[in-house]
Amino acid sequence: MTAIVHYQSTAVPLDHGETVLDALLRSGFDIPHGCKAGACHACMLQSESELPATAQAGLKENQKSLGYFLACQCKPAEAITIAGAAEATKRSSAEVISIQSLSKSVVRLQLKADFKYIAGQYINLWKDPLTCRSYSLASIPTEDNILELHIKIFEHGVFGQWIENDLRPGDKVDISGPMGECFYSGDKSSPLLMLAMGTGLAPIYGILQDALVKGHVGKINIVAAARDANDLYYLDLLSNMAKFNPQLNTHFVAQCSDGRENVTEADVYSYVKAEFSSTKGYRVYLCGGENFVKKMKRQAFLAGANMPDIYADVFLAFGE
Amino acid sequence: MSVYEKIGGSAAVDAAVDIFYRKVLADDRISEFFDTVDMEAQHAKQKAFLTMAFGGPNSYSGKDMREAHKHMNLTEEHFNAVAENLVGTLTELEVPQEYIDEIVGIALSVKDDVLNK
Repeated sequence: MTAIVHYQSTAVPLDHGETVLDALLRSGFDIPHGCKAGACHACMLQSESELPATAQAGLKENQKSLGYFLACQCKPAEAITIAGAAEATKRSSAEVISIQSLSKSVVRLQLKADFKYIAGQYINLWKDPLTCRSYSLASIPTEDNILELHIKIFEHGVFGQWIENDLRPGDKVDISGPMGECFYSGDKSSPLLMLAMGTGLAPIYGILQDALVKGHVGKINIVAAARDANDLYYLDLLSNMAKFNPQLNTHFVAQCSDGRENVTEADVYSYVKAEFSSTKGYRVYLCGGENFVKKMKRQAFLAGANMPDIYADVFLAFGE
Repeated sequence: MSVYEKIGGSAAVDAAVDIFYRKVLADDRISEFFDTVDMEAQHAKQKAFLTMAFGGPNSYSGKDMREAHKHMNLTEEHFNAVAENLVGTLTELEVPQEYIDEIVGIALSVKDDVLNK
């Protein structure tokens, strides 16, 4: 039996294995969407039909009970009737303050917006009314209302190219959110281990600032890793922070150090295993790609950290 | 009073689950069955298992046990490895031997279902 999506008095039959989002886009409907991987929640719709559990994974209980679901994660077995867009997360307007290169592949985007969040969370950045991507906040909430995002530039990446080439200071863009549960909390004396791969450093940098501002006194070890040392950034900034905060230790690790000072040439998994052979009693923060987070989570757990003390923010690849 | 209540209820499960899950993940005989992408989900399953083994409130039925393990081709060795890790966890938490015996008894009662005998 073919599943059918009923939307705005149109019946759209789903192709085999197709998601509700792809079917609606194929049929010419304008559905806002972003990552197509279940993280950005931009394609959230509402329905009173029975929904597959995967379509509601990651949503809050009250959202589930309202029949909210993620169109990009929804492959219904039977007919589904869509009431409409879920009351969309409110979008706010933000002003572009600066766009600055941090390394050969990473750009820092500063936005000004009156926006509530917790350091370590992520937001959606809207390129146009229908298209967004999620980026982690590297800033902490302060009175100047400056939000900081670290954008990885891919050669054919639509968003990176748009930010690097088209955006100018003074431009207005829409943002929505915030989302995410990876942030600083808990007691101030536990040792913290913060592990960042690539632009995973953005939320880690936010969480680190937050921990310091909140007066964390326990040891903090931050490991910033990249494949190539030339992709690392904030080396001086973090090293300086460590000078003023004796509880903070910095580690920079790359598979290829390219002879750079302060960068250890090593496999990050072996490095962390050797440096932190026991993570018992640690709170661990992991941010980066899916593989990195998965491997590190397992490693940190086996080395003694308890599951509730491991916080992770996974950067999902755009799911096309 | 069930052994679950005697050793401290859900707090005992919370204390045991990380130790137990760490042990099975590190055990080459059985780690493949526990090593998944979704560690949170696997962690929750271990919690449910321990609650059952401690004689606590759980919704496991023999049929569920059978269904959940039926395609895993489990052998006596796998079952024993899990039981050993369970005992190791309880010993580490200094649970009195008589309670350990009781818990092992509960675990053994689902053995045939788990091994699909």
